Amino acid sequence: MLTRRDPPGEEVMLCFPPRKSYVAPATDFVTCFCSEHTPDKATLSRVQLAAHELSENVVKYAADQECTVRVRTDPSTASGGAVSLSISTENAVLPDALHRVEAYLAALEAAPNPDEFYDEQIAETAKRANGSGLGLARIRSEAAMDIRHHSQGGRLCITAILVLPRAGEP
Amino acid sequence: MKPLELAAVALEGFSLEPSLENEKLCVTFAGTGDLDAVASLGAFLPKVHQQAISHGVEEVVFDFCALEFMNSSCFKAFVTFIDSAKTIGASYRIRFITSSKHYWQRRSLEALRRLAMGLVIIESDQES
Repeated sequence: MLTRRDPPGEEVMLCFPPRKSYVAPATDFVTCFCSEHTPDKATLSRVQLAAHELSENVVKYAADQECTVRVRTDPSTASGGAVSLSISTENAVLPDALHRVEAYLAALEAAPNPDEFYDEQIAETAKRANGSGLGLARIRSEAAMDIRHHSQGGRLCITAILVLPRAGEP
Repeated sequence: MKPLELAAVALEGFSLEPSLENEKLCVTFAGTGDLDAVASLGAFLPKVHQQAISHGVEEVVFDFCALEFMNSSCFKAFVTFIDSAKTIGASYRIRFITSSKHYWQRRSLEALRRLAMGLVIIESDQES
């Protein structure tokens, strides 16, 4: 585990091999880190959902032995926002799978209404034999977090972003 | 009354306990529905449907009060269950009992309610 303080942001990164048993500790660690920035249980529940889905994905789809989960806070530039909280995962992905997931992520990120996109995915998953294909759409809809991604050299990085309001603002 | 032919599931950190009472088939969930629970839940829910039909129940009740979290793969098992019930025009309603302690439940189950309006009912433990 690497810990780095890089003012004004704070970041913690976990690196581990793709084992299912690491999903829960990674989720707990991210949620615990975020609890330093907000005591709000509903917000932390959203963070937990995102951390769990991202951590499961990085373990399920890793093409090598290196999975990374990173959580970071930065001062937010959004109106009313105090802290921007980012949860990122990174793993190597096989070329065919990378092409598919990037196309899916592009559609997810471009969808104007996260709930409608999620409902469409739910309707489709009922007819799909393998995989739910719901995790990332669930983060954007249920956890109300923005999703961003980039890839380089066969490694895919997916980031879920939540802006925490200033104290006293909704 | 015929006995329920549906075995409980007990995994490390996840359990399902079925029961039959007052024209309702109830399943009480506990623990965390994660990757280890997906296969068991995916095999269990079609049997719930078979037993609901066999016993002619009015409702299938899923009690989530002690369910800490459910991942998207377990969620998909419910999507399949509800979609099947909707497609065949099941005669039973599907009721989820949620805990106000677990914030994710309302949000997740609202998506299932949208999938089958009128078939899926969401109830908080505070309303029970």
